[in-house]
Amino acid sequence: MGIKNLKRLQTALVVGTVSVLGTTAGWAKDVKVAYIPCGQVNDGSWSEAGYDGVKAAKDALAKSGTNITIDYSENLSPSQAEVAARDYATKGYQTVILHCGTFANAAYNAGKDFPNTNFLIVVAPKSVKNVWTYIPAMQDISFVAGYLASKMSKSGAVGVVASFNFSNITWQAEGFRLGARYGNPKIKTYSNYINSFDDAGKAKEAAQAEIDSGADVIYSATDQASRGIYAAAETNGNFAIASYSDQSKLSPKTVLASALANIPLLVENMVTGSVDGKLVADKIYSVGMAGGIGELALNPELSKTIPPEVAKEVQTLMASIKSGQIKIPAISEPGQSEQYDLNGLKPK
Amino acid sequence: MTLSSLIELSFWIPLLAAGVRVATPLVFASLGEAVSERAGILNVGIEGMMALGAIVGFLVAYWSGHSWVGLLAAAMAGLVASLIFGFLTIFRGADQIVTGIVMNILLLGLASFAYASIFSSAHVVAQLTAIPVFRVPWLSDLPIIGRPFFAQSPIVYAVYLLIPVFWLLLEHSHWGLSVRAAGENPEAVDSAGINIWYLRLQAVSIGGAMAGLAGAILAVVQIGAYVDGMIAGRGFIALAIVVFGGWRPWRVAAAALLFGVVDAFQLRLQVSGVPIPSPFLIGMPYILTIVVVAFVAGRAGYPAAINKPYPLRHFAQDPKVDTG
Repeated sequence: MGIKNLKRLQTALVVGTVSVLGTTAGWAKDVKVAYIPCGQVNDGSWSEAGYDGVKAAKDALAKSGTNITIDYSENLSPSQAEVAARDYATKGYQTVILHCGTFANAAYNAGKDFPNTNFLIVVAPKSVKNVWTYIPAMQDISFVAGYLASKMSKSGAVGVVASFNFSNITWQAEGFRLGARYGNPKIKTYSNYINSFDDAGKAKEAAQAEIDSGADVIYSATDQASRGIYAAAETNGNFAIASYSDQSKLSPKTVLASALANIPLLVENMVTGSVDGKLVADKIYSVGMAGGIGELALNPELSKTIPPEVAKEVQTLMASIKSGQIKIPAISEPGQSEQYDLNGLKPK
Repeated sequence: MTLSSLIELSFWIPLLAAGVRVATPLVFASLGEAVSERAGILNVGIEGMMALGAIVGFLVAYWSGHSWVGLLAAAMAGLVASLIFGFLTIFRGADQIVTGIVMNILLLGLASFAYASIFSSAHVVAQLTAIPVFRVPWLSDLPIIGRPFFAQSPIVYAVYLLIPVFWLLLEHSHWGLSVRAAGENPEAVDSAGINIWYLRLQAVSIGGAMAGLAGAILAVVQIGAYVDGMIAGRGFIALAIVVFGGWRPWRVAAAALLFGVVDAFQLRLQVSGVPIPSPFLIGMPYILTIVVVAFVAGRAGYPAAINKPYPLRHFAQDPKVDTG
């Protein structure tokens, strides 16, 4: 569809230039885009971040003369999401964004039957033909978070509480542990998986288990359950590092920094790429800091506690990851970061 | 932490303390459920009632500025929900399982909806200061058991009082005798001139209030925030714990503590880096519950009259319902 559109664009331009010479460029492309998140577009979290990305793509494409109409379907189960995706494809939507990790099969199934529609699926194993997956490669910024944690730890141990031992969430947890070792090769790193995005009670106990083992900086790689991690850190007077969005307001005295995912930017780039027909066939879009995904937001109330030389080292580290001098591996087995050869991480 | 530290006290004392914390909301929910089931009413809606308690407790604590007021409101909310459940199952003879499932769907949805419409759209950061730990003088200095049992949130001490209260109430009071009879042989209770419908409603409302409190303990006491989905199956675990504990208050509390300790233990095993896959470790407390329930429940058995609506004889207004 993308290539077809480009051809149509060429034809339109040629026809336009030849026939209506002198008048304003009367050509405008109308494209329909559908957005299907896990939750609601105003959830203040994952689903809203994706929606912001789609809206940003609309603004960006409007500048180049493409007019996008956005429709969305909220709170669907995976099977309902497939029905919705097929429905949008039938109605001639050019791009359908499935912004939920459990919708992978929905995307692949619908993709097979509707080859003229582009399907974008977040965090899935592969890109095939008209189905592209996009993955926030959080191990990059988690590595930076781990580095900062190791420099801020007084006890010589740090920990991460993660939601599921699955794909990019494990990359995130192991990225943190590897980053901590990179900052201090002698540091002890712990990880816990709680099998939930929102069981705050279990997250609190998982963080407490790590604190009881000596950890004094805890990284959250889970969603709303992170409230439990902050509660544990507050009780024990420790630091926490948040994920995905800036959460310093949720616990101003414990959240040292937040490792942002820049989901809106990732979705924006995918949608503009899809509408413009610029996505590379079968390419997995696993985007890290080199692609602008992953940023560190310091908590203004606690940034004074970070020694200036540490802040500077963190900046240098981020620059080397962005420029590709340091490549952070995607480790998908819990604990493997402990065996990883730190020499392989030296800037090239 | 390494595996060798598993034999040290510095591992076991915090583990036991964590077990007590994890068990606390479960003890509340399961003690109340035990009373309800003893009267012949299986309330599978406690998961939803816990969610209702969590949101109501949190909101009231947030607005009033007093955690204890929030807990009280949560108990009231759970009680009201259980009265609806009780009306349908006891007075209207609706199936207890189906009604309980409907209550779960309704209340879990209501809690999410209430939170989303009050806070999420406005992006307000709503949180409470969790109730601080209170060290009981002298007792908290006891070796080994001091810290796990007596350096906890005051709500834990309420549990220590509630267990004997429930034991006396259920097993050594006249009321308790009637309740147990209502669950085993409702005809006998009816013949004794006791209104079995109101008796069962009392038992169910105790269960509802305790479930509401259990949810609020999570939100108000332990986290200081409401998180959508935070009950995360604890209501269902409480149902299993009641069976596990054989419907007797002391055993129910012990079963909850065992579940809590095993859950805390698996989290610590993950920290130790044992080469056991995390899904197995995470499943440990649930596997344990299934195994124990399979072996214990087989012998114990539910109260005989559970999920059997009783057509009230002496108090029925319509003689047609008289099956005599």
